Amino acid sequence: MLASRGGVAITHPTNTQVAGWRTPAIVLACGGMVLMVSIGTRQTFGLFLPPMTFDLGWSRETFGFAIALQNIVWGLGQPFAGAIADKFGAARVIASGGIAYALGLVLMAYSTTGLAFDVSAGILVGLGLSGTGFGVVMGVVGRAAPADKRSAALGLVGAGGSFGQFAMLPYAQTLISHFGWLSALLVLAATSLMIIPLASALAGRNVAAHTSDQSLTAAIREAAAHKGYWFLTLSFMVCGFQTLFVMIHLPAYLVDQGMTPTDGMTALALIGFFNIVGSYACGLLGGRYSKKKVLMWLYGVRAVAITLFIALPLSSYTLWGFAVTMGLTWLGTVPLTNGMVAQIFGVKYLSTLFSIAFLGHQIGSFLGAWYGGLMFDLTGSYTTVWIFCAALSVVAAALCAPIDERDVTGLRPTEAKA
Amino acid sequence: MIRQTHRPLLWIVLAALLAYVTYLSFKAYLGPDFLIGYANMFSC
Repeated sequence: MLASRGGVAITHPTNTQVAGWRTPAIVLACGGMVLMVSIGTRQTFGLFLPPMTFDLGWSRETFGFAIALQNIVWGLGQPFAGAIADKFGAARVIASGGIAYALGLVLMAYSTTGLAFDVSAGILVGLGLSGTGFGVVMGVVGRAAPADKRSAALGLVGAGGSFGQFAMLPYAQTLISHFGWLSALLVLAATSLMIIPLASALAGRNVAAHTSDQSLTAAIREAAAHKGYWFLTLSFMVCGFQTLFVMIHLPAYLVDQGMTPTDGMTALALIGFFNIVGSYACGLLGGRYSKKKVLMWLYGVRAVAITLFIALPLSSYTLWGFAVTMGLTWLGTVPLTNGMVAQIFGVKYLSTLFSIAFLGHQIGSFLGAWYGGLMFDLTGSYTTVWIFCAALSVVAAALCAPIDERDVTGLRPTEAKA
Repeated sequence: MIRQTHRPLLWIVLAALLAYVTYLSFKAYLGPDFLIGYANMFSC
């Protein structure tokens, strides 16, 4: 890594031109904190459902529709946010996302109609998440880190998002309990404004943009023609399906099976905590071993964990074992998938290409939440969905096997390597 | 910039802070607010 002197802009040996204080460690720390706030805040919205629907006389469907809309806007908006960040720099996109996020939270607090809630919680917060989520932030970190440390860096910044998911939930619950849901939303809005100063650390010219003449359209076409990109996106879709199914339906499943609330909350806390460890560990492993092999192991471990969970008699111990294993593999897919996109296609359009794959993850999330509920309504139990989840893990592992991880940037005929 | 000698201290402070936040989070997850919310999640 090159040292900087007196705030003079220097060309980093990787792919971002950095000035003075924006060292890779600062980029990593600030990127992790942006994800902590943005992904963590999003995790808390379920806590607002009971008090808001009760006070405002809304149905759960009104609340649920806005959150579903938010996920769609996030998934669809992220490739565009990624493309803008790749072309014009990430800092403005992240800062704009932070403003949209804060504005959305403030307007959520003052929404009295379903439509206003759709605009605030659905569209504005969804746009905020597009600008401040994994795609844009990991693109910057992926470019700032040297190739041999990229996977570990992505794991570490992903662990920031995981920590947010774990810690923001009790933070929001404490705010709601002490100050009420309206004030809690305003405090969360103020918290999300932290993203704006943090974004300044993620500024920097995308040097890869100037060493390769590949256009955005050509990059998307290249990725679309690469079978591995499709396999990676499909396996990422499986990840989305499984995680959202477990997140939404596990509590209901445990209640059905006669487990106590303490067992259920312990399981959710264990998933949250071990998700932090797992994100970083998967990033580290991806830097040391073949990323597709680590992904295959990850999905394989999930398949075994789910199978044992439904096959063995349910007890606190089997539940905690399942929660720890799922936590360790929860968001570990993110640094591995992002790292593999960077490894195959280079980092010039990393935010865009990862964000498109992430759209697959979000579609999987939607299907996981919906299919779980549908099958429960049709069959009266979750057994079919658990079996389907385990089978999907095997499919995801099989999808990763044929991915050609080799760098394609050197194969482009008329341009310099990105 | 942080001096080389201060770096271990910074890591110790950060690790202690993270451990404290983790402890508070676990405690909150198993606190009455969350447990009551969890118990009522499917009955209202």
